Amino acid sequence: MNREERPEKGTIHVAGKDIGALPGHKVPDLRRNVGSVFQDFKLLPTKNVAENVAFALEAIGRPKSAIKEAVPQILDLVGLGSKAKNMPDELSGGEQQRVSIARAFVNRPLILLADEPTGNLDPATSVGIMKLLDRINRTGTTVVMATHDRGIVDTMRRRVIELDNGRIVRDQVRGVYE
Amino acid sequence: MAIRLDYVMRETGSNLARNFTLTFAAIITVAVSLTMVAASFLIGQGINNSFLGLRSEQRLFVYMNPTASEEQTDAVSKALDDSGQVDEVEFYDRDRTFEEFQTLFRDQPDLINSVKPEDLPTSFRVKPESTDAEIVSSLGDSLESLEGVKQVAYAAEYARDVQRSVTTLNRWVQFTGLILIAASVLLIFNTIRTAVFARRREIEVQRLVGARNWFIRMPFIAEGLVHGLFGALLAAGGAMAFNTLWKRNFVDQVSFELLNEIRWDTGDVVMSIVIVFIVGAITGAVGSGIAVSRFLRI
Repeated sequence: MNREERPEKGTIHVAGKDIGALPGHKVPDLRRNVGSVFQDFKLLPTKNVAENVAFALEAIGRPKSAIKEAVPQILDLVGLGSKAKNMPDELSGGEQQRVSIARAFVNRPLILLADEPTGNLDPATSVGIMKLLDRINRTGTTVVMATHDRGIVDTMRRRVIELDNGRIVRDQVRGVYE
Repeated sequence: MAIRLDYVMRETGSNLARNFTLTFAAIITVAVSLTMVAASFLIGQGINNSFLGLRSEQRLFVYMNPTASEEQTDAVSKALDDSGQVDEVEFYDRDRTFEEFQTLFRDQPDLINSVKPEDLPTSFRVKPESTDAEIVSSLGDSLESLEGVKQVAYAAEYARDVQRSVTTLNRWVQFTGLILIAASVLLIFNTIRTAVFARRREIEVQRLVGARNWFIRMPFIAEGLVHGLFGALLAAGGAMAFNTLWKRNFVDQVSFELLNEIRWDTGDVVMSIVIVFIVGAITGAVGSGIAVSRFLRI
């Protein structure tokens, strides 16, 4: 969905646009609107929490003043306001994922893409992360999550799309894992 | 815009510092190769200048037979004095020829020791009135026909030999310079490739959050340029040193008469420095450009 990989067959449309047909220089714009969160967090180990989030804003050219404002705000939103100066290795798995989510969401993208966000987390922490994603969803952001976590799917009861060998075999409005 | 310049400088600085040995090697190689470029440019200019000098300074060397008699030598001298075609005449007796011989070959003592003044011929240095090659040539022919004259040599010919040697030397310098520039491009390529690899995590995050392609590439291209320009800076110093050395050893020395001709002016030196910076920048940009396009997946 963010054109990290191309499908072998078929097309992908995001927000009405066929992203396979996008010219190379338009891809960054797509990615700015699809915030990504991964199972392995993908944080920069040599930067602290605030710097990790700021890095994402610097990379898309936001001025220093805007960054100074936005970073504390988003860290509060994800519940890490007090941990701004901590390094990633000082944080728990759940906290690191929150930083990741903060980084993905700080630019208010249209879609938040989460690839197995709870894959490396214990069940209790996973609940916390899902609550956060739910909060984000309520602000109007579409959250697309790929998961094998049965418990979460059954608890959240949201739209479930099941894929089998690259084919959509189910699309349910309030679904369970099955 | 301010943050971008700030960002680029910061990132480039940390990249350079991280791999200082490789950076240093790249800069030195660039410096050496560019110094050769500068030197060959200056020598080339000097050769061009010298053609002009020679054209207005045709000389004939009339070599007498070692066994020529005094009457024959006097007769040639008189013929030269009477000739309307001759501007200046200078006679080199055996001792004077030997002196010149000693100076010319002062770094070959064995050669000097094996030759005695009696072995060397006497000669007349003749400066013709005319600069026309045909007139000078026919003057030479008529002198050669005089009794006792072994050979008439034309300074132009002799000079052309020197010219040819210097040009050949220059070609070798150019060739070596080119090879070194290729080596520089490779070294810079390698340095940047290492830098890209070291920053792969940051690059991945930048890509994911939607940074523009040139934004991701810029620090690395900048790093390559720094290599090229710093090398150029050193080479500029090298060019000036070469200039000083050449002037001191060749231009002001009487014995290397014909190498005297190969000279250039300050304008040429400035030009060589400009060339050095341009080539340096190109080398840096090409080296890093190739590395970035091959290893930086966007």
